Amino acid sequence: MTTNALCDPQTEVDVRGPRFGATITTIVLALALVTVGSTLGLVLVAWQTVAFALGAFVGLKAQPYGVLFRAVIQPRLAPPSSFEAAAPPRFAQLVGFLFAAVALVSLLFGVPALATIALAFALAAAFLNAAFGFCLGCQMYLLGRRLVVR
Amino acid sequence: MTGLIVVLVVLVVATVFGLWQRRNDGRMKDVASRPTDAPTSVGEDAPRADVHVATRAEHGGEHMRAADLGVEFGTVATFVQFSGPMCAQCGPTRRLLGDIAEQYEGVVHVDIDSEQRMDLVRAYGVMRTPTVLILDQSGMIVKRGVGVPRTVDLVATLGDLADPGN
Repeated sequence: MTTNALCDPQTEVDVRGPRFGATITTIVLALALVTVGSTLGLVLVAWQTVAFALGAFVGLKAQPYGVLFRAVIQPRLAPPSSFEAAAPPRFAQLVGFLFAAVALVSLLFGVPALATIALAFALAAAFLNAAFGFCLGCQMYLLGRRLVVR
Repeated sequence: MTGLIVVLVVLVVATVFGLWQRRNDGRMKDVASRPTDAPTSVGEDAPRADVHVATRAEHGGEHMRAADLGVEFGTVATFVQFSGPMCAQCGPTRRLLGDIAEQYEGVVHVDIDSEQRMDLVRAYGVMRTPTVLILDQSGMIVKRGVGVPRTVDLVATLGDLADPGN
């Protein structure tokens, strides 16, 4: 009855993909937080920033954890039964990218405290996504629009 | 060491928030009976409220206008859904409310693109998508919730609206 461009199957993804990606992201960000100030910490933050950038600017198909999911995990699981629009998880990648980029720049300029704060927000968002399927960035989207659009 | 503490604090806070969010997600809450609103809505005429026959307006209820929604209200209820582009739950909500509107006589489902109707988003204080409002036959908002509505809540509300004496 109700049709919507957002429901186009072409733009939909297996819900387990972004969830898996969020789990890996949570682990990477937690390790990065614990190792802030070390070379390993810098490498982890740089890696995660690139991963977010690929997901946000190229697409979910290019997101490294998404690639890993489709190549290794998905073939071992039951066929996908539940799909979601690709736009929200892609938007979440953009929000993640912004926080990771702030953390990366902060580390490069020797401000680990700011990096820690930015990583903490990114970790909270990734964990909520992984553990509860709750997309924090998506939930903030309308609030953002309300501020921008008159 | 600081990093480890930050990780633990974030995980605890996020878990509490996540559990709270899960508890409230999809719950359709009453909005019609807000007694504290009655005096303010009546304003300087407050004393007159005593002699009024109980009308819906006195519940402080907020109305939507059919013209704003571009539909005619259902004779039992109208589901007003606010959707958006970054909304994983909007599709499932749309299917659920659409199905119920087809099954139940007198129930209408309206899906609003928030981006196109920022006027309504602001007027009704919509913060997140999907936000669902349930209106009675006069357009008064009786229930409100965020997330995919729980079917039991929807059916119970429709029962109340179809048979107010119950």
